[in-house]
Amino acid sequence: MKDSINLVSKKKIPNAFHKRFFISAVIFFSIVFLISAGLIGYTLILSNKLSEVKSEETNLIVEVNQDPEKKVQFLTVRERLSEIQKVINKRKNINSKIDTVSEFLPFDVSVNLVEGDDETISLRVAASDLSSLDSLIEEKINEYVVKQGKGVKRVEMTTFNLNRDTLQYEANFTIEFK
Amino acid sequence: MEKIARIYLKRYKKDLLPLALSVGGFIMLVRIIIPQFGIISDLNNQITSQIDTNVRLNESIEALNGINESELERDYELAMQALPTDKSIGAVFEALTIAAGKSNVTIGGLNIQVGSVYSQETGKIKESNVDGVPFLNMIVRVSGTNTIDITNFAQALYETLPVAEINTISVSDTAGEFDVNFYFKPINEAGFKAQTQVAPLTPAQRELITKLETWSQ
Repeated sequence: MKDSINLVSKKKIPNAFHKRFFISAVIFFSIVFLISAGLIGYTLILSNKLSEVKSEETNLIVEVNQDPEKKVQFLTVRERLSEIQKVINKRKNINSKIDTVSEFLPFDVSVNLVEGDDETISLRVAASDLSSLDSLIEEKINEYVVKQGKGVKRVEMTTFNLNRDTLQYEANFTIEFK
Repeated sequence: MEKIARIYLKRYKKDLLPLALSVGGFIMLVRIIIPQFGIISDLNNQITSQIDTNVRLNESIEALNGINESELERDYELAMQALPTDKSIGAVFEALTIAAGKSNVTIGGLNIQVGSVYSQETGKIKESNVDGVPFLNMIVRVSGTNTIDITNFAQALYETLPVAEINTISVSDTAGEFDVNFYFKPINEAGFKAQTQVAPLTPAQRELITKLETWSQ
């Protein structure tokens, strides 16, 4: 390539273009610089604030642990109570089921046998008067089932007989719960 | 070549400074401004969560300062009585005796099931109904004058401490057999020592304390 060949355009660039380019560049740089400075300043303020709240946390932790025995005792009470509540809420309530059944028994009907778990309860009831057992079978059991709603799955009378030793009528019931 | 460069330099000399400023501005935009937004948002999040922690710590201090020492002592004893830290056989016997007294029955016999830690056969080991709360399983035989008294023993046992659960009931005339679980739970004291947040008791927990007080009498 010959050095004597001039590839640079001879067209003259107007002065106004240089000026505009210069002003735009200065404005752009100044804005970017100011924003950067502002953001860095803001970051420093936030970092300061973070270390302040962190040191405040350290002081608060010291204050919380001032009486560790009291704290442990209180947390133990809280934990125990929540566990006790869990046990009470989840424990089987066979006795309340038996109580509810007993409430529907006519006064002259006695319970001779109770067996069961949370899902099934078997009862043997006895009465010397046949009409009492009749009332239990015809009315009371229906009342009981209606009151329990969807809680009772099935009520079955498994046996009905006259006990010759005691001269009492006896009936065995099985109640299944859902 | 040098000559051409000199010509270019002479021709665009005036534009070098604005060009440098523009490039510098662009670099600042990419390297400082854009990453700074991420840093600021992260710092803000950290401050917010730290302030929340401090608020909870302040609440913990208020809760601890508001505790009446003698009341706490009483609640602690009650809670320990209701859910002992181990298989407290003595407390269980006491509960059975109290429940028997309340329901007019006599304890006829006890069978404590202590073993069974692991079995490959499913259903061989009785599992706790309550997650994370172990129990002592016991067969209790009682005798009384009638079926009602014996079934009342179950209710009396539910209203006695430590907390118990009856799995099965078998009552025939004057004799009864109950399969009972007595719950207990060891304390994780180290965990409580490290814990810094202490929330006050909820109204439901206060209510439970009142209930336990009644049951402890």
